[in-house]
Amino acid sequence: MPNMMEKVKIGGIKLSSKLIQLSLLNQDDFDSSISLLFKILNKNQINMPFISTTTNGGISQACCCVSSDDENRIRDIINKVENLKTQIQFINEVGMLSVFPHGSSLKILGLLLFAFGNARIPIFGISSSISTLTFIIDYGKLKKAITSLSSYFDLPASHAPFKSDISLETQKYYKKVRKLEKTMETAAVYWEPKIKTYGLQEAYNLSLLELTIKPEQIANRGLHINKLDKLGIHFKLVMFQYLSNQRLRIHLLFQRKWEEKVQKHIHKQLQMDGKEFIQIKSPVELIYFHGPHFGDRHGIADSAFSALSNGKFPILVAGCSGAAIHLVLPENGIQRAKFLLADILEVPQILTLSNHLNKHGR
Amino acid sequence: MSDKQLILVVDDDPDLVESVSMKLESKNFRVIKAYDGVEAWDKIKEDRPDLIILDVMMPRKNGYELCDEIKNDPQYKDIIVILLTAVGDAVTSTSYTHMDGKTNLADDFIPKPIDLNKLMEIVEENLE
Repeated sequence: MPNMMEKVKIGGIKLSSKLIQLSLLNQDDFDSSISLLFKILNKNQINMPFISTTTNGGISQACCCVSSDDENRIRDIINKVENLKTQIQFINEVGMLSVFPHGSSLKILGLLLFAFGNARIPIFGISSSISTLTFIIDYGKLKKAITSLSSYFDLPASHAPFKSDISLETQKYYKKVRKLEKTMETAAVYWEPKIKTYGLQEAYNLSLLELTIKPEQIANRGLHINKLDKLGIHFKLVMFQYLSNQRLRIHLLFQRKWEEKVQKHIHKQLQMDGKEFIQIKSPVELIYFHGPHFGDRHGIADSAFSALSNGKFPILVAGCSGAAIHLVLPENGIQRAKFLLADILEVPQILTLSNHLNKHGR
Repeated sequence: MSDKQLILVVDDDPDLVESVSMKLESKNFRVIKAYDGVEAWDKIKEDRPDLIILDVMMPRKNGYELCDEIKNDPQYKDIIVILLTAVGDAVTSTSYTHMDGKTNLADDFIPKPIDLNKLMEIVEENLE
């Protein structure tokens, strides 16, 4: 058990409104089905504040969260699409809890997993962004989760976990019912010939760990991940999916130079019981980009995934939360991905983020 | 010299706060962060930054309110405030306009989506 006297400082916690989670399950033409799902959501102006997809390993699965306000509409839409209606499972009434900044720290990730596991709060998905670690949990357990985290994390004295997303329904309410000509600055409507980003980052020579565990092992595995931090290892991306066979699949991306250390640690600490699936794929590459209101803009995921799918380009793992989209690609994939994404993205500059992270050993 | 100057970045998008902070740190500024207006006001009183990069729409206390409080407080009115507004060429409809921003006392504005290089230019110009 972590030392309770040593609370870890974090900057804040952000919550979402009520969401539903859609899971697109393994099937033959998986890439086309993901593209079709995103296209349909885009066409119907349904935002996805959270997306995770993987075609890595044995089971392909895509998950996304949409507002509960859209539930009836989305069920109607999907029921009319033959290729999707039998392939999609719903988890109702979930919410996002985002902790920031994560600082690429496995100590923070491990402690969060321990806290959720210890409090018996089921996790339906996780994805990291540039700054946040976002957990999908029961909407009704968000308060309990915050209470649980307060035993292990220190928030700034004046910080309050906040919700900042304003749904289209809320905007309509203000405009129609309250008859306000002007409301606060709300979700703006964008039209851009190309999607403007704050920059596009690249990372090479990485290793992708895939581990499948039972949900009841989450606290224990959290402690093991926490200990990886002491070996000086940091993550580039974290993605968890809740699988249809009631297992949790963990994807952890880190620099390849740490692969041997991670493998040794896993075999020593996790004491594999034969029922856990584990593999490491390397070398792989990462490309990620970030832009304004990405989570509130239904067209972004469709555009990005369509551009890559049309080019028959494989994405091993994708994680989209906060305002960032992370794509894990096979070796030598970045240049081709950049070529395909160039048609849809406007990249004003190359940020020095990679240099910054490398400088800080992350 | 800019290497000792302290900048407070305030936005409820943690990814944007992180990106802007990294860019500022690469330019040798010191950076502190806040994620809403209430938290920002505490940081201002605690650390008195030289410049604030301030989002408008935030929970608890928005950027306009905070800007007004800063500029009407004799102790803090000299702190430079740059507002991040969501009115740019790409935005086709929003209930907020530049006029709202101009009625308060901010020193400068930059539209979202921000160009980080442009933001750095604005920061450096205002601190000269």
